[in-house]
Amino acid sequence: MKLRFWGVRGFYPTPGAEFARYGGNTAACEVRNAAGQPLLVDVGTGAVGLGRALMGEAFGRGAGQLPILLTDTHLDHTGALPFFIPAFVPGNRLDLYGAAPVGLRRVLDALFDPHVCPINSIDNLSATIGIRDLPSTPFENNGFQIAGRRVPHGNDTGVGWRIEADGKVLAFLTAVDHPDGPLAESVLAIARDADLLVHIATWRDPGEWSSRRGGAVAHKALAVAHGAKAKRLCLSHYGPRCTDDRLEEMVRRLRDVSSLPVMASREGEEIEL
Amino acid sequence: MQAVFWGVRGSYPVPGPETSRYGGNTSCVEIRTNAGERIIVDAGTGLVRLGEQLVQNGEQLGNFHLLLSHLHWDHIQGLPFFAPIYQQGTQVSLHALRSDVAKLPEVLRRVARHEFFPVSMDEWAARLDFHEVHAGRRFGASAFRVRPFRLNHPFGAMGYRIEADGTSCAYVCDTAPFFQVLHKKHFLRGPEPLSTADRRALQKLRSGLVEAIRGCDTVIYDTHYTPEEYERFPHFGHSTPDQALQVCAGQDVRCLVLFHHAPNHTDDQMDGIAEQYRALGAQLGMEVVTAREGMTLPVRGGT
Ligand SMILES: [Zn+2]
Ligand SMILES: [Zn+2]
Ligand SMILES: [Zn+2]
Repeated sequence: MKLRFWGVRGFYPTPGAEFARYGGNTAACEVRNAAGQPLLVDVGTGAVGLGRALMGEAFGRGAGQLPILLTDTHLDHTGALPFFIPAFVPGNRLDLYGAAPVGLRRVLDALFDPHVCPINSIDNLSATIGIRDLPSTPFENNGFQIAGRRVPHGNDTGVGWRIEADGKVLAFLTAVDHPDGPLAESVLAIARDADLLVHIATWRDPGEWSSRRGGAVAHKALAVAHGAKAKRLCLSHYGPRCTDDRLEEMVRRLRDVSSLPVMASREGEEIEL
Repeated sequence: MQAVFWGVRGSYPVPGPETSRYGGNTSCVEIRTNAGERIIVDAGTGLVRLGEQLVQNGEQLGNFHLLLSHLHWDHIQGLPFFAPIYQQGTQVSLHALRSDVAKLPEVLRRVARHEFFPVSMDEWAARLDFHEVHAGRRFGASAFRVRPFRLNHPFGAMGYRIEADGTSCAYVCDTAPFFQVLHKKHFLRGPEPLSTADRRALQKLRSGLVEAIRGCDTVIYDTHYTPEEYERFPHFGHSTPDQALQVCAGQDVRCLVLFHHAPNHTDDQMDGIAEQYRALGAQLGMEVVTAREGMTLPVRGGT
């Protein structure tokens, strides 16, 4: 299994020189199994570039299949869907999985509301779109074994994903907060013995936003990785104030205290499991 | 008066090395009087940087006027991350179309609420109030006089002529040219045949626009597409620089600003567009400027 990050930011895209090395696009990560079948985690602005690249494959002739796992339903995880080109090719199949208190369909209806989006309705996409509220049991799609769990997150929309293929385990916890006290059982279950844990890491300036808004800070990511015995930790979903320099400092600090390999996700980078 | 460009892109933000010179943030323009009063037009991601700067400078924030052309994501997505709305004592007056005013609190509440953004609108410290705009009905906003006019865009969009300091600046975004009906409220899979009534409506829209920009010192125009791109997407609701020039030519417009650049246009492509239309404008006696993020453009009056 291998993965490639197309967007690593949280909240909103950050164009600009301070973000140029790691990239300013919002969350999108392409995952491939050994057979080359794709899966996408999150549809932030990074997904636009992936969509274009996929058109060179089966998706260009309407024969593509893509499971899409949403770790959250905020715009930084869903907003590029109206600009994802494979969604406009009849014959392609996209299966969206996510969780929201009002149901995923209603969230997507808001995203495509005719006042805010010229596509007018998600039903106007030409591809076949499956919309699935978080399944309660593990499932298979496109050669991947997938399990999702709701994880603590301010808005009740955060989902942790555990993705298995080729005997490897990839865990995604990019929309999670860790309240004080022991780590949530759901969090540990998603990351348990993972070959790679991708975890949210926001930089928080003193006084920046309220604590409810910040998402988990980096040292908590390390605590999760250790607690769940994950083999490698990859940070992602950085806050908009997390410049490249701050990000590298954050990684340095974690490496100083970690026995695990720690890395920072970078736009365009491929990681082999 | 001067215009400061905080975001110049259409559709969605495009960070990255290929857009670093013209900028990757979506539509947001700040118009300032010589005395420093401001009005903000559109709330794309460019608004976030403007908000950060205002808070950093520790300016007395007071009452903001924000004009919205319409509610497409690229024109509102910066609003929930506009730092001044989390400050006590700020008041934001939002001006938009009637149907948008009706929808806006709901959309904002929804996008700012659980499903989209982490903070609910109730947590905003600033006071928000909403004002309907009507085509041709002028209103005052701090030191500015504003004249709204209708544009040709899905679900309707408003352009604004803004006057202060004896100068004038018009914001014409988003709009298609006037060969296709785009302001209706249904999804267009492609160009649709025009009825006589449609043609008449389009003619009226165009003449309303021309009348509103006549004699304007600076006109900021949605020139999303190159002519080749427009041929492929005539039903997407955006114009080309040529179409903007046609509208402005002969109307005593001093400066045309190309704006709302397509997200796929690289800096090198934009350099080519900028040079081509600068030269073409010069032939027509019009200064043509291509908007870049961070650019401050003086709005100069006639002599
Ligand atoms: Zn997020
Ligand atoms: Zn637009
Ligand atoms: Zn628009």
